[in-house]
Amino acid sequence: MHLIYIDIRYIIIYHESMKTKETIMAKTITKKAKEHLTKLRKLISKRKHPLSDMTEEEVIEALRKTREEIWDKKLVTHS
Amino acid sequence: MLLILDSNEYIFGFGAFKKPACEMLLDIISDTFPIHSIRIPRLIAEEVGRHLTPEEFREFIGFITNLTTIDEDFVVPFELGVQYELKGLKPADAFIAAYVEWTGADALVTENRHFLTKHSNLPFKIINAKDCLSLIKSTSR
Repeated sequence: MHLIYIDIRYIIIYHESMKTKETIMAKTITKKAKEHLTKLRKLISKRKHPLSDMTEEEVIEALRKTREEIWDKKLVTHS
Repeated sequence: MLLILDSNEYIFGFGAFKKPACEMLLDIISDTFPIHSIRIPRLIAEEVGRHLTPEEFREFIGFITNLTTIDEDFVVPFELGVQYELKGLKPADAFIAAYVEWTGADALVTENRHFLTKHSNLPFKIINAKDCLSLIKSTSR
């Protein structure tokens, strides 16, 4: 029978390094997402968006219509 | 907290129509990832895409795919959608509600009053961006 001894310090160091990796990854994701969001808002602000002249209710209604159109098209394609 | 944002939240949040609460919500979600995360079905991604130019759509996909993956609509069990249709939702809205349940999300965030008034006995919350911001603040205390 072989006994394996693992020093608890190595486990702690491994755990800490994994936590650091996760934090770095989350920060990178956040940064990239934010960059896309900023660029998207900038692009939208540069043009006159067709929805910008509508009231909130009209925008919601327009989006509801879009949803129904896409859904109906999906049903036709899959039936 | 896992959230599903309706297409109106993205459109308002991107500034196509000014609604500060929706803009703030997108900022908080992207700033606090992965504490607060989102999921999105193909249907909502397509709806948002219809109101964006190809260049804007590319940025939208970049934004979304950094935070989550787009779920294909067919992964949601058909029976789950039927249950919501029986509760009075239109087929496409019923699909969204079924998707929220299927993902096990905490809340569907929408500005659509039709959705907001049909929220009794559901396994998830239906809230608008303003209430979602309050909920996020209260959970992070």
